[in-house]
Amino acid sequence: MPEDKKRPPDRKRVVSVGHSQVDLSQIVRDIRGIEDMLAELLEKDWNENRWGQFDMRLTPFADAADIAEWDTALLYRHPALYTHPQGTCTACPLGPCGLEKGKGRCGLDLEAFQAKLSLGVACRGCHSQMVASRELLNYALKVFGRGAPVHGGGPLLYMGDFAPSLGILTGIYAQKLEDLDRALSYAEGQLQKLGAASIAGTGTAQDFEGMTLHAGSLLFLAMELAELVKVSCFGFTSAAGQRMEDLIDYPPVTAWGGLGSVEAGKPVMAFTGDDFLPAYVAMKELQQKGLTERVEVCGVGAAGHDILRFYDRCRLLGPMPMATKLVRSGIADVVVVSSACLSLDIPSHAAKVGTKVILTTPLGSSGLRDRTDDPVADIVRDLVAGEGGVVVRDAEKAGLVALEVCQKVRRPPTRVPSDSQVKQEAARCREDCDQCFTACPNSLLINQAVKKSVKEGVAPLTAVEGGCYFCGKCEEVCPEHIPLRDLILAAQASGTEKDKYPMRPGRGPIPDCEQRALTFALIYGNCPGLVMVQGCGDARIREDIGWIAHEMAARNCIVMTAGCGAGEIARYYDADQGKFAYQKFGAEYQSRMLINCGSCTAHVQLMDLSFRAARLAAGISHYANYAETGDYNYQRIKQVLIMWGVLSERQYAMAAGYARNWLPVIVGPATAFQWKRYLLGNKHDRSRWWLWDGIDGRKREIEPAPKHLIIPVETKEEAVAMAAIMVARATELRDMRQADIETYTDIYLRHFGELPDDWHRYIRTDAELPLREKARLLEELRDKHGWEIGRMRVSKPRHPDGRLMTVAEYVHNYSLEQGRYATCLHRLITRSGKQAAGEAKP
Amino acid sequence: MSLKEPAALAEYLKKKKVLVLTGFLCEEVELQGKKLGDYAADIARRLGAPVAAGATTAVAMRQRGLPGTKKMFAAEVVNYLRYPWQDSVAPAKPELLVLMGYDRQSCGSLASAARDTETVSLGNAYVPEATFSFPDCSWHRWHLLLEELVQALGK
Repeated sequence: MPEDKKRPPDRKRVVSVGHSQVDLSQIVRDIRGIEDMLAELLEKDWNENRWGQFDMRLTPFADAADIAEWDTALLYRHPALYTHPQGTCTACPLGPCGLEKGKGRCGLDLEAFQAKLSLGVACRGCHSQMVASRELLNYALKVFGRGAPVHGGGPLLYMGDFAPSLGILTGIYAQKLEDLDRALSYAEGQLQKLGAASIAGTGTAQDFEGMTLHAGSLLFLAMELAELVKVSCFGFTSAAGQRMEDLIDYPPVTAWGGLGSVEAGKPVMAFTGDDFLPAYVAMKELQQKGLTERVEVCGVGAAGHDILRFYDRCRLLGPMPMATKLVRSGIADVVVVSSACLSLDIPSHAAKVGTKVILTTPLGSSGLRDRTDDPVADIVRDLVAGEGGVVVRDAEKAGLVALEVCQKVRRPPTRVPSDSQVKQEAARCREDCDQCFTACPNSLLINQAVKKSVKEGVAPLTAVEGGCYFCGKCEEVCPEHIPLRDLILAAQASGTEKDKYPMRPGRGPIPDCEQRALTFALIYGNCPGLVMVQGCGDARIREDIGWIAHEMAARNCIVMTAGCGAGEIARYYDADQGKFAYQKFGAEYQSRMLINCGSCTAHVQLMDLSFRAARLAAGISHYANYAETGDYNYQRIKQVLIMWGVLSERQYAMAAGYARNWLPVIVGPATAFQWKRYLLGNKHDRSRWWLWDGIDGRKREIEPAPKHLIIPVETKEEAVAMAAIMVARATELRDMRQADIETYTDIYLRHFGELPDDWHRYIRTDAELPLREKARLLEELRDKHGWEIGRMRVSKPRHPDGRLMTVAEYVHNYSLEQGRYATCLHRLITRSGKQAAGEAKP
Repeated sequence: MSLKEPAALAEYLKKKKVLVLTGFLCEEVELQGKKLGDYAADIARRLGAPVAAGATTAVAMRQRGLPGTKKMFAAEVVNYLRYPWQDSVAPAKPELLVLMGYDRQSCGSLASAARDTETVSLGNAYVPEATFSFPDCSWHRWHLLLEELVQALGK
């Protein structure tokens, strides 16, 4: 830090790191009020060697601008591409300002305005989770006290590896609930700042994009906090508390999902949204009264996945976007609705089938009476007597009411159109219309299905039913007012019995010993990478997400999942083996496994893995140290995320959070084209693909890896093809490159009938070619890319600048030697490297 | 601009360096027994235009006798338009993108992001972001518009 920026001497605080003395004021912008926290972190968690080698800086309680150094490096390689640019800003009284031809009155240009809108989306995506985490934490603080311990569920998570998504932004090593309170207060304050910037900010596009990435990081902090409370206070499943040898089947595949898994004739209570607490209370009561065999507990969306982590008899009905459709099936006697990633009109759909609604969300009443302060008996009495729904803003009371009501209420059987009624309705469909197809956000061929239904009844509708999330846009445009959603319900009802699949409940975190055990497979073995698969469950072809997970796991990847997508993956059925997805693959953190971490908040477990990797492999402390951690992950960690079905704004914020950690995100299917900002690299522009050699300070040209940070794709085949190459990294060893190229070229040949045009950019020698296709690829190198090939060897590769050179020269001039330390950030070149390079400037 | 005169469009297309981009609906939607992909192939062939095959259309497009077809990701195509053109799918930067096999939203996204390049949407929904677009129409009318366009492009 320059001399003039130092804190005054009286603020100086010197701590010992090994034999070195570190002045905190030299590495942190403002240490006031956090001196003790920083001192503890450095003394306990820092590596003296790293301190001595690099120009270190820490960013505790970071603002977006504190991490701008890192965000700039990232956005330089993957500049934002905006779609549907909005040309007029009406955000303030000085407007409207047309930005197509120049800046607005506040100085914003067109691109900065798009970035600002993107920030607004990310902030909205964060808010609902932030509220859910706050509600949960406040409840835990009340019930368990501020001093209640926080842990990961067992002894297999150490301080160094603990809660990195929280520690990386704040520097807090969370040990008690009060630490979580402090962290969440920070996140809430940050989100307020970002929200203000999304309204009144006047920065550059890069400023706003950096803030968008920051919003994503805050979302993960809020998720981390919720996960910690769930495990520490409510006994959720946690792999950290298990024996290593048991993890291959932990937790066992004992849960069931789908409408067909609900036992007919029993009272049914269902829970939706982010809040599991009403279900937790109801379940305790259920167990206490010995009613577990007599009442069916169901979950939709996050609540369902959470319940499974403490009560595996819960039936997971489906993902959150399907909530209204599932409610309309009439499956539940009572449904408890908490706030969620999506706003859905569940009360009016529930009213149509006589399902009683208990609304617990603090975000609005939906016009229902607030009965929070009434006695349980009175609320139950009124609901049973005919009141359609109530608001109960008390999770404990809501749970008790739900349990009572579901046992007492009597509802008429739910009716869906019969086969002949479907034919009758379908007969009204106009020959020359097809507006339902055009209106459908999933481009379902409803028009074709309805036309076929005139003769065939319900059957053709089953082809589109799975992709329908009941938005009702088809009904809105139908000139004949055909009740298309009722027809969809008829199709759903016809498949209810078969809608039943086993699944593995979420397992929580990946303990560090498990992560260490993977090293060989990932670094020296033939595992192409870590592929995270998630989604909202609103994709047009419901089975696709399961296919994606299966395809990548079968190709020896580690596949991890969480949230609604984890439930949809469970539907995948391998007819050859007669097994469903979770039955087919084990759950250990190893190649060819399928790991479900839990509900939406458990997405943080996927993120934490890569934060921990920097520590495990390079001894990097993540605490208040985003840039260095991300820098390591960018080069080393073979990881990619596929988001399949991305309806909610929470996914948008989540994608930003992943991307900031240079974890590339593939979004699809076609509905993902509705996002208005992507982060795309240009593989043809060689000037963008370089790293500093951390040892000698040279600027090194590298392969375009990862090619993109956030990219939309149309189909499942595109998703796996893109994933196969997005795991590539510049510092990969030989076997990793073999695995990459084998997967990438094989998927391309299988689904697109050709080799990709850029595969050769990811190898340097023949030793990196997959053995199975070696002859063919060498031929392609010679004939198409102009390399010199002798027998089965590469004699002279051709550099992207056109020069032929020896393999040794090539390896020295393109990409990095095996295991070579490199960095995006000039300050992270080693001190000796800077000297060797004559203090090269970026 | 809504385009109800395919013949006029055909004349316009003939004067441009066109790149045909085929999307996920090309192999799903069938109009009077002819797939959208068949129309895309007819148009590309008659214009002598290269095909950037999005989704999983590459194999089918080659089978339709368009060996120059290259597998591309739709987002990458519009992304490359931001920079000096270097991709091998077309020898020079396309002046016009013909978008087929996309729904209204996807098509609008792609069209709105295509910098310095005109776009034509040949779907059954009007896409205001495109330079030219078929109007909102039924599948029957869509079929007629496509037939008319193909005929107007000549052999």
